[in-house]
Amino acid sequence: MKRICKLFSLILCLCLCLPLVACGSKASTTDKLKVFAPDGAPALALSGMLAEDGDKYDFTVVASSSIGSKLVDGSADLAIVPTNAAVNLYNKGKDYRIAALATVGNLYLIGKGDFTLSDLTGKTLGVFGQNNVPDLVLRALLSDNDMETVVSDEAAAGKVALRYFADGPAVMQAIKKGVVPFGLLPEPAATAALKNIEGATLSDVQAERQKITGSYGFPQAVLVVKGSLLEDRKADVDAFLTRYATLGTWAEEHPQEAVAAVSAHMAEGVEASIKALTKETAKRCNIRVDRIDETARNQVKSFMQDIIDLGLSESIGGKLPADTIFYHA
Amino acid sequence: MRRKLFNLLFPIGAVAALVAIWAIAAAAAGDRLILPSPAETAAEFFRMIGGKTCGKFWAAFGMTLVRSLLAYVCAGAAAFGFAFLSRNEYVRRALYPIFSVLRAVPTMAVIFLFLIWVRARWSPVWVAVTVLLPTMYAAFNQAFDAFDAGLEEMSRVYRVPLRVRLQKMYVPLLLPPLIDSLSFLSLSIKLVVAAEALAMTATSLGALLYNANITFETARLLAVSLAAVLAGFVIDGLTFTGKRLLPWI
Repeated sequence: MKRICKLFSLILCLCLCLPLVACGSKASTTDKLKVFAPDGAPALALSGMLAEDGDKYDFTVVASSSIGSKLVDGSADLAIVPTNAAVNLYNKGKDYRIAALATVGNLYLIGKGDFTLSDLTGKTLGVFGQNNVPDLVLRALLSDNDMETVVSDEAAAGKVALRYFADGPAVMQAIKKGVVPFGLLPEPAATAALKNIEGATLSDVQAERQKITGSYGFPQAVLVVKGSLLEDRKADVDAFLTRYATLGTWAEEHPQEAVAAVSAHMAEGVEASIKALTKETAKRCNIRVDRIDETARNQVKSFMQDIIDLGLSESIGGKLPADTIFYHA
Repeated sequence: MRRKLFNLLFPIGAVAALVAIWAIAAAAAGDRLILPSPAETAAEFFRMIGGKTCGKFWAAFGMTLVRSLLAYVCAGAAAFGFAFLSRNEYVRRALYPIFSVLRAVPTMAVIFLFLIWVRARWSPVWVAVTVLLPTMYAAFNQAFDAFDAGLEEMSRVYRVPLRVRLQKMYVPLLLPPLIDSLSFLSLSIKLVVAAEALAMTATSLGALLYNANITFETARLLAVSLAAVLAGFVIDGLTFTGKRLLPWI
């Protein structure tokens, strides 16, 4: 009994030491800014800076599933993240402000032969990124076109059946094998699908959305900056944002160099998903690096409102963000 | 009496120590998005099982249990059948490499393959069956190996009725490993939930975990995990009770 009591006491003492190892060191104002981007098209928005300013900043391209964790644990000074994730985390108390756009949509519907949006009714559509931006944009678009959706592996009369897959390649495989007749894919996977699937054609989701909203695309991914940096290192942040805005179209002009620059900055153990890129494909990624202004702010809020109207406010933290989320030019 | 008290207090003490470590770690992390406290997780758990949207949780929980049970029953029946056939030495040798492959193949590979071959609603069941089958086969093989060949021969020589043989010989030998195999149901739940999260299976605990992860609802992620753990505890309790009741059967 005495031995057991001693053992328990030892375990509790070890536990009490835990807070001591949680202490971290405070970052110096001369440290390189840590910048993260998710693998895929959003990383192309940074490709110009990766190629030309790789030694001035600490760039890391991570797996898209782990970009959110860089904001949650506070390791990112700046990061490109899906817009809904940025708003969600801000609403949950993480002080990361939206400073610029990164891409205004790289989503395309794929099908065999010519088709329009209305052809999806009564069919199954393969979708990736459930409850993430691709899924949210698609559902908003279909809702705006008065098309009912249902989550189902089977087609449903009068509705668009959404069948979810883990990622873009899984959707492509499903279309190729005839499991689903249509699919939603991001660029550059959409271009790859055109090559791999016989008779495949693309429909631009951004253009379809323009028919409803009047403006092309939507704020799919944004560049966020840690709120505390705007007090401690505002000049450095502004210099970064200015440089970011000037190199926005770099990937469209230097597609292969952009792929090389992204690959050179991949996180350890993570393989880049984009192996090759053409000017045309880069253009279809719709990279836009505009600083946040009145127009961009309204676009973000309008997109978030669409998500709330779908009844999916949970994916953005339950409410529209306060205007303090934006860091204006 | 004292011994029974200690047997009860030790597990409770261990759980209490785990919760204490968790609370200290959560306080050290200082961020509910990284590690919510036990209190926050408990609050989310009770909101999930009894709040406005509890119907969604119970539907998901029910469907995951159905898939897990289905996988367990299918794997168990197949394993029992194969083990029975493996009483023949040639059959056993023929099945050996097949079950070795099933045992060694990485679980993630199995998940990805079934995502391609089967619909999302049932791919978790197939994944769990594939992983459970070799383990349950080995357990049933051991049970059959424990049969006394001499006793079986004697029962045939003396033409003991099948009903009596089943009642007095086979069932008493097979019942303990069958009850032990109930613990595989916990493993089935674990496998099914993992496959559901990757397959995006609608109405499933896996889908709830996936959604909690992408919306940074860490407390809900832990609450859903807690629900799966509690289901496992109930199953372990059933196994324990079954073993205690065995002498009376």
